[in-house]
Amino acid sequence: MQSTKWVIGSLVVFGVVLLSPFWVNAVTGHLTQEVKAPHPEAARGTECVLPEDEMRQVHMTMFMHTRDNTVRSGIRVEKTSLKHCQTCHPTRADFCDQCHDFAGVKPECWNCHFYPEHAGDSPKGGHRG
Amino acid sequence: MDRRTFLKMGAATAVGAVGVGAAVQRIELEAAPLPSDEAASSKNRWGMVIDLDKCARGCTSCADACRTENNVPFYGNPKIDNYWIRIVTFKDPIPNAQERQIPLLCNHCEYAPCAHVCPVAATFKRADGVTLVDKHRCIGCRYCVIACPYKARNFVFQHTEEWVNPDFPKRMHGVAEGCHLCVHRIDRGEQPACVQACADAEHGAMTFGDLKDPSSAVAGLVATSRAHVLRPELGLKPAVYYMGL
Repeated sequence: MQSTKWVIGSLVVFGVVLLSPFWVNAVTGHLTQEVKAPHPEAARGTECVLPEDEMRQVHMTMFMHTRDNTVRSGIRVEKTSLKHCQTCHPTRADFCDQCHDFAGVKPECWNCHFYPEHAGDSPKGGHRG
Repeated sequence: MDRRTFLKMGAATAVGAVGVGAAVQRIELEAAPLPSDEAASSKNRWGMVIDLDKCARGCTSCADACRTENNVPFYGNPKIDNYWIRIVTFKDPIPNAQERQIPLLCNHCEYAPCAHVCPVAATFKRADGVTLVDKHRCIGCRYCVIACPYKARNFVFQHTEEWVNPDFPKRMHGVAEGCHLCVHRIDRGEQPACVQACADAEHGAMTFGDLKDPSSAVAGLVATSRAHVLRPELGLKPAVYYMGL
């Protein structure tokens, strides 16, 4: 059993590498960091196009439906468009990004469509992710 | 001139045009705007007539307006530059012929080869005859770019950074694009940006309208013997006609 020390040594190295995300996060302090719950900014308007709970569940389906209708048929219903959201929720960082960052989803809407990331943002730039 | 300067100049020109614009009359579409909850219908067939005799040599108003309206950047690099309207110069092979120019855009063929070859139905014909690319769906295979006999299709090689017109989306790299007859403006009851720019430049070489409406100006021009399509032998029935070819 001359190779025992090599086997055990390799296993230790393997374990260290396997758990490297934990070490990295322990060193950078992410392990102890408190996860912040999303806090979307209160809407400027009084009523959303759908009840709040329903909106949380189905907004992505609604946008896709609107998108296909708009692009492929020319039905431009403003009520369910991305632009219409901006009338009550003017900044993306305080609205969309709050929950999306929390849930770790990266929708690609803003690669091409305009939504001011911060108040007073100009349309130039805006590429994210 | 780098592209930033170019786009700034384009935006400045647009702003200037708006400033002067009180004097310049906005040309409305002869047809009523599409109601927001109604789909485009096959009762219309949008088309364009370009009178090359009125098209001023060296003028690029239409192409510039197109870039500004649709956020099409200009890099000055022929490998990645996209042209929704390409100004092509040509010369008849006869003695003493003058060099002339022709604005070449998507011809919105009735039997569009680009839509025919698209494997994911991203390129499609809208009911009113406009050829569109659903960029959400496009996989960037470039079949349509190769299929188009007018070289009016472009592939987006680089993500658009500048955002001259926030009312219109940009494109990510890796999709195909081309003239869409400013479909967002048509639905609002406005003329395409190039037609408006040509009228603003007081050339009036471009006429846009409904080919199916016999009383429209564009249908009247198409009915004359001077209007011809490009490459008629292909039988694609384009909706862009040229006069004075």
